[in-house]
Amino acid sequence: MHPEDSILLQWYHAPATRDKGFTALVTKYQQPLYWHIRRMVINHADADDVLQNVFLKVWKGLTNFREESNLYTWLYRIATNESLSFLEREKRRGIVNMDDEVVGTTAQQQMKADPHFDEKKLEWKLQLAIQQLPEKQRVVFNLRYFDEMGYREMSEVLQTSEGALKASYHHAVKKLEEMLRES
Amino acid sequence: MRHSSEIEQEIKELAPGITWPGKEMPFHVPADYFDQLAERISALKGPSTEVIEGQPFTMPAGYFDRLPEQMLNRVKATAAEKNTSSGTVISLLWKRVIPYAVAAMLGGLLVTGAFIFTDKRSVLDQNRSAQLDVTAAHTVLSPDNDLYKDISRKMQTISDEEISRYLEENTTTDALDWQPEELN
Repeated sequence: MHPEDSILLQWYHAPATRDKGFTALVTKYQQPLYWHIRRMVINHADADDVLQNVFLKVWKGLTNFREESNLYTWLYRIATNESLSFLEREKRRGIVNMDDEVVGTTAQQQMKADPHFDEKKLEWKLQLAIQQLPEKQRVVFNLRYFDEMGYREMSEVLQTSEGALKASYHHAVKKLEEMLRES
Repeated sequence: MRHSSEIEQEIKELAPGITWPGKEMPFHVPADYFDQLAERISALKGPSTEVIEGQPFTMPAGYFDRLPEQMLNRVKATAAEKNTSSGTVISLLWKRVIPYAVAAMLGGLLVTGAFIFTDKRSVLDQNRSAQLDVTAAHTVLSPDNDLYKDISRKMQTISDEEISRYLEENTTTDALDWQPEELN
């Protein structure tokens, strides 16, 4: 059982227990954040890099963290931004690679390279279909479906109105339904 | 905050004809990855802090234990850098000097500008005195001038051979023969 966020923050803000507070925070949030990042960047090594950057940013930013904000949504916001920045950098590098006639590996190709990949399994079919969604819809679908996040919390994470997020999620579900039917 | 049942209901209404898979991720993760992650990240974020009794400040744990070695390494590294990169020293020197030189130039320009635009009379005086100097030079070099006559007389007593010898003895081409290797 993990300690409450308020306890973690108390530990972190007291110099004598700062390390204990941070370690407890990492232990509590490592898995949800890892999977959130992994669903976006696909590859484990990339997810590990991004996750480490996220926790280093958390360590630096936690001193100024306003306790009236929700720690959980703040962590997800950092993780989402870091993942999107990573994908943006990869996209730019991909363009350079294309100029050098080296074809970049797509997310779907990376999935198929996973030793556990099984195209008959519904879980993999869904993951392959999600990769065909536009980036924003992909993030919204992942946060809602896998992280089971409410629209209010999602609006804090993505800094978008709840109405826009609902519309985005509905579009994503409809597209996925169509793709899963075809497969 | 989890909204499982609400989300399940919502997706069934949006796409009723589809069997949606479970939430388990099919991706592979190395064994023990999550067991070691917290420790790895703690190591990455740098040394932990230490509270010093009677002090409001904290410092990295074991800071003073590591400081002598760190300083020794740093001093050695700085000394080695100085020995190997004299070129860098020059460029750093230039970097330091250039702003002052530019500032001095600009200052000079400003002062000159102010002088020209605010004190035209003195500029006119200067021009006049410059003209006077040229007139004086003309006077000295005039064939009617006694000094000029004296120099001309003395020059006529020197032969062309003597002038050639003087030039050979007192002219050097060393600058053209300079080789950069001589510096090594």
